[in-house]
Amino acid sequence: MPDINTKAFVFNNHADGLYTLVTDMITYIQQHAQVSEATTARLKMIMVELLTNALKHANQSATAIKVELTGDKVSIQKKDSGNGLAILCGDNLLEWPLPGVHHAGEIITIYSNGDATLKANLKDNCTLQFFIEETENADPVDINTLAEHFGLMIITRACDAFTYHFDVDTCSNNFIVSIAL
Amino acid sequence: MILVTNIYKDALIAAIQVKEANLTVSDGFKDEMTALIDKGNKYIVVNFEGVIYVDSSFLGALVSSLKYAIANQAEIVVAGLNKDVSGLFQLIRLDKAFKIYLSATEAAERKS
Repeated sequence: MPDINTKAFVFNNHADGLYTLVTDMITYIQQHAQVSEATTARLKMIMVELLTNALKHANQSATAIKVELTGDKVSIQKKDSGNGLAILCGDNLLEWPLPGVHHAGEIITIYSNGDATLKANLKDNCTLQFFIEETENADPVDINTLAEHFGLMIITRACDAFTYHFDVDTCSNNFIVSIAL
Repeated sequence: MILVTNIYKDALIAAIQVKEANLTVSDGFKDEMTALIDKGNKYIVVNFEGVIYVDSSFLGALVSSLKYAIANQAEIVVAGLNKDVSGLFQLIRLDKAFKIYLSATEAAERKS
């Protein structure tokens, strides 16, 4: 069994505490694992965006962050009891938990950004996993069609797996990101 | 004020004054960029020297400014990105949308 190291952090949901917390979490990971410079950069991007998401949507005074190192993988979980995830897909606003139960296997398109489309695979009415579909041989970037919302795209590109889960028992949002070290 | 500007040759260099380019300053940044474009500046160098990180909100404001610039026959380039910020531009392919220079002076001189 690989060693498991876990630490809980608390984000005060103030922007001026954001980068200090990112630095603290990076230090914790580096104390327990060898982390390359490139992976450290990706971890910072993920952390900044998870905490930015908390600033925008948490609607509470603090957000719980858990960092877990297992073998050669690190997972970061952000948990809050703010509003459920809401994504505008075309003209449809999807809000979690989704109504009904027959969503497993559905794929939704969130937005396109030139040569890439952010999508999500619905596992059930409470869980989705983000992924990116690249467009091969895409035309040169059309600035006017570039998206202006990059948060989910940044996290999805920077990590190996990115999942959202709405916990109906605790009415909490759980964003779980993992990345190989 | 988020930007301090100075003219260098035929470029306007707009230096970001905050270390953390995040959602608390993104709207103000966009407003200041809009004002600079409205004043008729045609080549604006956004200097990130001193910025330690950039979040998605600020990038959104930067892209929005670029769209406004293009609609007004102006150009925005970026300079002085640290390694992390440069990596972020590459990660989400914004290096295809913006010309990136090592320094603001280099950005201004390339235009001349």
